[in-house]
Amino acid sequence: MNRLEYLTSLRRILEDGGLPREEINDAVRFYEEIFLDAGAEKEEETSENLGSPEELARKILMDSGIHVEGDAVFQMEAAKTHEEQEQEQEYAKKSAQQDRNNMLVKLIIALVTSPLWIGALCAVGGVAIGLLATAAAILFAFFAVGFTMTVGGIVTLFTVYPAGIVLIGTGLIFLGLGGLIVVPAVKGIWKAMVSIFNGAVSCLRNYESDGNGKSWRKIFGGRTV
Amino acid sequence: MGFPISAGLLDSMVLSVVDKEDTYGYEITQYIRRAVDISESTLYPVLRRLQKSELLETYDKEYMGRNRRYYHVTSKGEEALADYRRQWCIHKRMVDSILMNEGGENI
Repeated sequence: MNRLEYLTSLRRILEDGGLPREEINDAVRFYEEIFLDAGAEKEEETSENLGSPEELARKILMDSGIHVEGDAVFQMEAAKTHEEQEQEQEYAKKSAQQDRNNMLVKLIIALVTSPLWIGALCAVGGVAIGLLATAAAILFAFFAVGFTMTVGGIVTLFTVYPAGIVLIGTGLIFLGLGGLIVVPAVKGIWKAMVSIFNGAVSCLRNYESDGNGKSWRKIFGGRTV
Repeated sequence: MGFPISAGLLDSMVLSVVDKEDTYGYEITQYIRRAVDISESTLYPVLRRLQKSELLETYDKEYMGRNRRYYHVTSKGEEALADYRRQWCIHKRMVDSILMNEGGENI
């Protein structure tokens, strides 16, 4: 880029950036003199040394306290030296690598220990389901016994009627008790099943969203591979 | 290059260059480049800052059919330069006492 192209471009960008006219003239004059004093035969070289007009304008605007593109983060970026940026990139690369390693370690550990945790999970699940089934069975038993006794009592009524009355009475007691507990019991069983299901789902979700492998680091004392 | 140049150091170096003889932007850069790798885009804000704080003033002088802007150190600038030099001597001694193991017994 020659002197004229460079300075025209610089002026236009500074105008777009909203720099006061006086400051624009000052800056353009300064860089024009740099071009002229460096010599007409060195114009390309000078413009290369200065960096692109966009970069230079950005510097000038920032020195005047004008936010470029209204982005606060950008200013922080620009204030960093080249070396710092390199270090950051290096660091970002390393931590990305570490994350991948952590994911791999997680996976391997999960696979290796699968006999343990699958067993434990099944045991816990089994016990929970067993308890629920027991509750349901007891409820069912109340109705079954109540119904059987009542029906049996009605049949016995025609042969040994006092025994029939006792049987019908006892059967009705069981049916009554069953009727009393059926609504709260069914509700309770339903709630228990829902919370077991939710617990399992959120447990899985936590492990997935834990991208930094914190939980594993906690378990293994922060060692990384 | 290992040691970054601070703004204060750059200010004082520019003052010192201009103090020797009134001079212009391009020459100041060339001069300072003997010691530090800087570009004109680094120098421009330094010159503006020094003008704003009235340590430098400018005047135009004709050169080959155009006006060249010359910089001149004001009396306030002279004082600032003397102060910068004193501070630099102290700073240099302190750094040398550690980095070059010089005069460590004085601290």
